[in-house]
Amino acid sequence: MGPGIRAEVSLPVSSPSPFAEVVDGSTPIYSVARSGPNGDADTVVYEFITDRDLQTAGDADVVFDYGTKAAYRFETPCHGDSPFTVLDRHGIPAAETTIRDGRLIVTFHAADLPTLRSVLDGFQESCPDMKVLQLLQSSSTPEESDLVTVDRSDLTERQREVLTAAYEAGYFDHPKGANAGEVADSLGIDRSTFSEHVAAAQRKLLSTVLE
Amino acid sequence: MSVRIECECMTDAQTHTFVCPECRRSIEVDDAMRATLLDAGCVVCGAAVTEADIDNPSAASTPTADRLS
Repeated sequence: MGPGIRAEVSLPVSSPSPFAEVVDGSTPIYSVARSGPNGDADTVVYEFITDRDLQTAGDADVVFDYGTKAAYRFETPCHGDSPFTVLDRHGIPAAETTIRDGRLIVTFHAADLPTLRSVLDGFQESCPDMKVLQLLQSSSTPEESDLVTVDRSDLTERQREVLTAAYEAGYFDHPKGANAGEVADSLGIDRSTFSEHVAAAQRKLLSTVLE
Repeated sequence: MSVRIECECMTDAQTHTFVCPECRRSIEVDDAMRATLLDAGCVVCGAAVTEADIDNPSAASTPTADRLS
């Protein structure tokens, strides 16, 4: 599969959103989950988390109480022009769904550009007010990545302290923000001791990164 | 404690603001998507895109950067 595209799209909470009859969009909603149409039932079940005291206008019921927050659930007919149904037609799940500032924000991953365009066409067909907030295209392949794991516990507490002080003072900048003597003074140690700590820390880090 | 270092440019990704000359939609895009827009046109209306339609990069966090921070 080629490089995919992560799209974040903003749509009105009002119809054709399934949330139109449930919330007014003034309260942020997150962690939206959705069950697909079940057999011939032709209905879809949604869950979401929001404030416990949400004034719901529809049939959303609290299914779990988190204290100040609560998980709500409601069932709604499966509308063909719902953005989620558009995604269904393309075999794409919504990666993330939230409601904020009165807008339904849907994030999904399209496998390629034609698929992205087809989904956006579907959204726009039923909702001219669609806004595309962000598009990110994965540009890396496994061959391009070169990951290493650095175990920071390899550094002694003193080495980390010295390294942090040196870094924050600009010792590693070019031109230097501080010289070895100045950083050593700030730590209350000899310049030679400072140099030994920095050299030892650098050796440990570089041996991991460069091996 | 281990830290995973990704020696690759995703964590330094910069974003651009693309404004379509036709449909006037404003979309935040990364470097790779910028190149795709210049090659394939606006993803919404299909209008041709030029360098002038995309502003200079600005620092912005990406999902990858957020996870790695």
